[in-house]
Parts: sequence; C-alpha cells; structure tokens
Amino acid sequence: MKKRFLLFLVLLLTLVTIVPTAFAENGETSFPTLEVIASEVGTSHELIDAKEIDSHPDVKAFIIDKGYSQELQNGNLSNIELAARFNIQARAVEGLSADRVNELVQKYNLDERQPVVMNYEQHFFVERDSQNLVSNVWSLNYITSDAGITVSLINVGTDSIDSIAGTLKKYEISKATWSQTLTSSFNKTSVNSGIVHNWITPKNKVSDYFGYNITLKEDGSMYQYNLADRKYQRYNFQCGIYKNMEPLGGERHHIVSKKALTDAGYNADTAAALRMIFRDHEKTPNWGNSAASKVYQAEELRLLKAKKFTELLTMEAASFRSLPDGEVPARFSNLEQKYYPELLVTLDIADRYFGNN
Amino acid sequence: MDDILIKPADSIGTIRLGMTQAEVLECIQEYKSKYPMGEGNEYYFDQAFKLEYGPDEKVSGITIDRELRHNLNCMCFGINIFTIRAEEVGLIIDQVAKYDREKAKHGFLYEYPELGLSFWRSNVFTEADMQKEWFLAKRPEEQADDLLYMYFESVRVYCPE
Repeated sequence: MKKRFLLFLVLLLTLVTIVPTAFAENGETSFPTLEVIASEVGTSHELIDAKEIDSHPDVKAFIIDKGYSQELQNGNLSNIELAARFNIQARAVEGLSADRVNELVQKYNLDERQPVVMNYEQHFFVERDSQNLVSNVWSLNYITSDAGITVSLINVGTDSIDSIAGTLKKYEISKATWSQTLTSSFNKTSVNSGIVHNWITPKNKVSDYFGYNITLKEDGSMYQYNLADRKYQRYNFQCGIYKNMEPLGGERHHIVSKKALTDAGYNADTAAALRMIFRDHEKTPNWGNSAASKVYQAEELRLLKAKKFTELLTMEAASFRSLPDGEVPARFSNLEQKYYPELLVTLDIADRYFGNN
Repeated sequence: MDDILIKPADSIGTIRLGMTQAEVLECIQEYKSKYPMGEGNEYYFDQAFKLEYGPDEKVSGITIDRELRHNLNCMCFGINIFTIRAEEVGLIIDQVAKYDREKAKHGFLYEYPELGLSFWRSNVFTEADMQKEWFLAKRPEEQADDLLYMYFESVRVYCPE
C-alpha cells in the first residue's frame, strides 16, 4: 500500500509540469568567443578549450615538446591536487581572529583547513606565425573555490604575454533574481607563469557565480573575451533548525511542511529545514497550493498524525530524487544530488525531532 | 511599474486557463521581450509562472510567486496582493466570496472555492512573533525575510469545481 501510494505521488508530481522552453537541460554553458580588436600582420591567435585539445594535435605536440605535458593533465587532477597546483587558499574562518583560530587548532588538535575547489577551467591561448605554425602557447586557468576566484597563467613557450587586463564580476542571487554585486579588476604586463589575479571573496549568499571581461594584448594584437553565464557557480546550502537559519537570499525549506506540522500540533519553528535556491524550493512538492501540493500536504498530515515518521521522511527524500534541478540550465540530475549532504543532515535532524532514531 | 492582473477562474496576465503549452510559451516569450531582466535572469519569466496541465494537456491551474512584485504590480480585485498583509487580503476578497474558514485556520491558505482563487504561504509570521527572542536576536536583513511571511507567498487561479 505504502509503495503504491509513493508511486502514485511520483506520478502525480510528474503531471504537474513547468512550461517547457528551449533552454538546455544538460548543464552545458558557453565557451567564450575571442573577439579580435586588433591584429598584427604575420601572427594569429586563437583560444582553445583545454577539453578539446585532442582536436588540435599541433598545439598538443607543442605543449609536450616544451616539457609541459602536465598542463594537459590538469583536468584529471582531484580538487585537492588542483588547489595545491594553483596555490588556492582555504576559506578564512569568519567570526574569529587569526590568533584565536590558531589557538583553537592547537588546543583541539585540528587538521589544517583544506581549500575546496568548486570549478576549474583551462583555456589555451595559442599564437601562430605567418606559416600557421604554433609559435607559443599560454595556459589560462580559472579556479573558483570557497574562498574566491583565481586566474593563473602558465607560459608554455618563451614569450610572456604583453598584458592581461580584466574585470572579474561577482553575481549573487536574492530569491528569484541574480544581480552583479561586486567587481575586481586587474592589469598585468609582461605576464609570465604565475597568479595573474586572486580575488578573495566569501560566499555571502546561497549561491553566487563569477563572470569576467578579459583583454589580452600580444605583439600588436588585442583580443577580448567575456563570460557571464553560471559556469563558475558556488553554492552555500545549509541545514538546521528553521527559526535559526539564515536564508541568505535563498529559502528555508521545511523538509516536512510547516502547515502539516502545525495542523498536526508540532512546533514548526524548531523543525528541520534546508536552505535552498528559491527556484528549487518552488519545485518541492509541499510548496504552493497546486492540486498536487494539496494531495502531498494531506499525505504529510496523515503520516504525521499516524506517527509514521520513517514513511514520511522516506516520502520527502523520494521527492527530492524525483525532482529536477530548478535552475536553468540545470547542473544536477535531481534535487537529491544537488543537496545531498545537507539533505542527509536534515533527515538526521528530522529523525531526532520526531524521536525516530 | 506595470500591472499583471489576476483573474480568478480565468487568467494571470496573458496566460489563461485552457491554453495549450504552445500558447503559454508564446505568452512567456512576450513577457521576456517586454521585460528584459538582465544578466543571469534570462529564464526569469519561464519560471515565474507555475503551470498545471490537465489530462487534456491544457492549463488547469496557474500560480505566481510574490517575487514577481518587484517587477509587476500583482493586482487582484483592485489590490496589490503581495504588498498588503495576508489577513487583510483575505478579508477584502471575502467580501466578494467567502474563503474556506477551516483551511485558513492557521493562516497558511486562503481558498475561495467559488471563485477559483487561492492564496498561500509556507510560513505564517505574526505581530506576536516580532517580540520573540529568536527574532529579536537576528540581524535586520534576516528579520526582513521573516517579515515577508506576513504576506502571501503565492496566488493560484484555477477552474472552480
């Protein structure tokens, strides 16, 4: 009976569809287009996605010949290895002085905090001579972590880039709307291997992402490229007790709806909740007053009154698995994967709230 | 700021009950063209309207959320519904048709079955809550989020049974 009802609910949820539009749902975002501002006779340049290097065998051969074959392996590195490779720092501990942090680390024998790399992207900026032979390659690397974003350059050849200038832009979400909130600019000349720019900026909202406008100048040629989509996106989900949770531009989602809890006589302010992206929250089956939501909330109430907490929380977990990522383009296969660690802890809190452990 | 009209048992804006998905898409495209939302928000209107489709694959329910109030006045029976406290909205429209008292007892849902109209919020925040210790301990910007729940979070139109 339980399984049939769960199946019914999943089928009911699939009948409530959002309007399909022409957007991509495979998480793919754009590769920046290199815009030529000025071009010196006798040379040409192109920007290659490192993931496509096998389609450019002469560029790949140049990189290997120069002894930089490791630059071809960055995409295979773990996040810890990437952090070490590009000297990414761990996010600062907020609310405590550095001295107090050190004191507590020593006192309680804590390990050093590891940086968390969120996204890594590598481009190869390729120079060709008048005979279209590769004459230099530079590896441009963009790494976002929970501390900020780092732009790094590796000069595979012998010629430094005359200048790299740019503006990094931070976008933050507040409920349903993204806004550009901060920028950080840089302008480096005679750029060789090393960090081009390191922007430390904490995650203040449930989600943020970085874009950039970059201008490259090399031997009389000038190029610009821009990125403004959600390729370098960071998340800041949290789980905990509803009334104590900060939404940070997202939504606090009662894992069991507040209405059902209240109707069943529970204190919903101390119930388990999860900080979510606004559009994800709207996808949850107990959001709103649609025909399907009413049925779902009624079932929550029935299970609460019957004290069938395991069945109730199984239903809530199953709903996360059945629901698509609410953002466009989607990056996760479903909400369970998107919120996995936080969902687990929320279920743990809920178990203890109901005395179900 | 322009208005978007909420008509019970009929429509929200240009999207009407009984439309096909293709017709809905056209309406949404018009909203996107008329109200460009800037970088990162290209799909805002695709997601602002929550549609339900019946077995005939036509719109059977339309919901909008209160975030739309930042871009359009969400008007129903002449009132800007997301800018007036929930209980007041409920009482004003109660003069047109009665809301279901049982469903509204805790303040989450005001449903007008005769009209094909309902208002909902996931949380109820009251004047009394403003004096509670946990609220007073919060920073003003976090208090602002709690205060939102003195207002409705969504409105739905549907065909009355």
